[in-house]
Amino acid sequence: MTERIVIDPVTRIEGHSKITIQLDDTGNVADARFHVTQYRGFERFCVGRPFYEMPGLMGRICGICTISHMMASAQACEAIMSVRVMGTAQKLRKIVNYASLVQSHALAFFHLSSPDFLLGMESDPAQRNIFGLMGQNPEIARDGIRLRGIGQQIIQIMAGKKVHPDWIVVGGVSRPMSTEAQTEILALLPEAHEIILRTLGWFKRTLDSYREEVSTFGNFPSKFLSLVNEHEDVLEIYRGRLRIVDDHLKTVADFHRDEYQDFIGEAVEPWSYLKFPYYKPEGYPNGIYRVGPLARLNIIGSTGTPMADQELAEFRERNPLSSFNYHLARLIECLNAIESIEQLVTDPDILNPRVRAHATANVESGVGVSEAPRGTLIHHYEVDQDGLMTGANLVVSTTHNNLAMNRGVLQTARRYVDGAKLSEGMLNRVEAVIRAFDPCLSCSTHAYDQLALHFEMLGADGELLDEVKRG
Amino acid sequence: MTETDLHKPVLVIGYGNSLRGDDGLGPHVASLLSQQVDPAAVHILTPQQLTPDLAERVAASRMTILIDARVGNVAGRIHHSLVSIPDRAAPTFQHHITPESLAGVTHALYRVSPLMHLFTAEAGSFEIREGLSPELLAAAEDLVGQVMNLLSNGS
Repeated sequence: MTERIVIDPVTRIEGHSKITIQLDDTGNVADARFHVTQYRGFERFCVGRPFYEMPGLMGRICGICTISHMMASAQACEAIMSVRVMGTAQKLRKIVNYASLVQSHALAFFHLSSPDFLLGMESDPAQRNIFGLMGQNPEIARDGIRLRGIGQQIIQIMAGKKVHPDWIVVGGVSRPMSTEAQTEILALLPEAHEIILRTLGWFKRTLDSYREEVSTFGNFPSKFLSLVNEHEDVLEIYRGRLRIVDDHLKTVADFHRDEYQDFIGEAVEPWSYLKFPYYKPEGYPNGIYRVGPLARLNIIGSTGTPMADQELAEFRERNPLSSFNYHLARLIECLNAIESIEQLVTDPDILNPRVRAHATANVESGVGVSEAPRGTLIHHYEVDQDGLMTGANLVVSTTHNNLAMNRGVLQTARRYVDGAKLSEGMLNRVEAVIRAFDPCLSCSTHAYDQLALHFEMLGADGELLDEVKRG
Repeated sequence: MTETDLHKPVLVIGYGNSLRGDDGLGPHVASLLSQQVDPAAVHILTPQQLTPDLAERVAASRMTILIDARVGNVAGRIHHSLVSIPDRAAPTFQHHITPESLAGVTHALYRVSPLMHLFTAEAGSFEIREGLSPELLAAAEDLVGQVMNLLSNGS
């Protein structure tokens, strides 16, 4: 008799989901699915609103990636206005996007995933969380809280608020950088630098203990997608060109954001509210690709900063296809972000007071792209003659990874699930492969609820044989 | 309390969402207090909810005063208690934490047992709107008085 295991809710991720594992007659894993079970519908209720409201409105999709959504949204609006944002405003936006990346990566690495590394995959789930970590490794927990705090502080200094600021506006930003802000930010960077280097050193040593997880956690051939700098083979988190590489890291597509629908298709399945984007030339579901820190580092030739480039050279020695390496990629991106913020804050042009362009709607469609902490983020808007929204399509970072997350869950379940017996270590490893991608489900489905996970085990006839609920 | 502690500031955290009716009590009281206290001696924060990163600020303060709205049957009724460190860590991570968890996090990370007062007032409504109900506006005035008394007594 075949069976199905359900993991519900999936814990220590942003959002609400469940995992089902289908067993065959012999008790082996036949299939596994990652279901996202909530829906909000931002693409619908923005229709009829003036386009220039979009950055403020779309930023409310999420409290973690507010900045990235506002960036992509503002760019889509600027495409509709056909204006060019001044260089200083673009640099100011980049500073805030880098700070957003630091705070989000710190949350993902220290708060959500490090309990697995430090307390063990088999440890008591009641203690395997940030609070358990505080008890056993207070130094690392302190570093995590501090690094996230520094990222948030930089956002607050620049944009006025840590969460949902109104500083990113259509045409640029609402106010220039002051010398006081410049000084305050520069004072924060050395501590952030120290924390990241300390954590990198510790985590690279720790990785040797996780060779099996590296080889089984979402380790499969796929394509990778991210932005790259318009002119150089360098990491880009704001505008730039979109590039897709194959599993040998060879470029298979390099295109302008306006052409994204030529390369990216979006499928839907009845068992999840999360869409399934795919690489169009290979069709659905074969056109699997990944986005986010691992994809970004796999695609670029250089991070653009010296210390992160040293780490990138070491990273190149590791398996580029293992999703477990998302964790290390996150730390390298934090290092690059802090170095980049320092470069930008000391740029001779950064105090220029001209930071906003003005115009009205001049074309009926616009696409904006930014790199959010979790990956490439696309906002595509359409407006009528009066500049009122007639349509919106968001392809959010976590959504791009949907096929890959499902593939990772299946691979990990096949390795660790043993018949109908649910062990804590097995369930946690299946969850942990999802955490490696750091999905943000409130963005990707526009969900509205607390994080949660539900595991279900089903027999071949569909009968529910066992389940575990969390959250 | 050591002599060094006496030189530390007091931290007031008035938390809540001002777009959800009476949930805006904490930020409202914090705003009223900010007009009456020395900003060098009393640091005031108005987050929407308590988060683990506040532990650093709590640890650096000689006393923390939390102000929040709560569910209850008598709108405007005020409660005051001291927050104790929980015996056991919270079972799961979420975006916000309770006052007890904040005390626990502060203790676990910074080896400080914080002196933490919690003032709450029972709300009339948490519906989506700006502004407090008349009962909570009156409670806010009372709370300002109680907090000022606490500040002048020093504990």
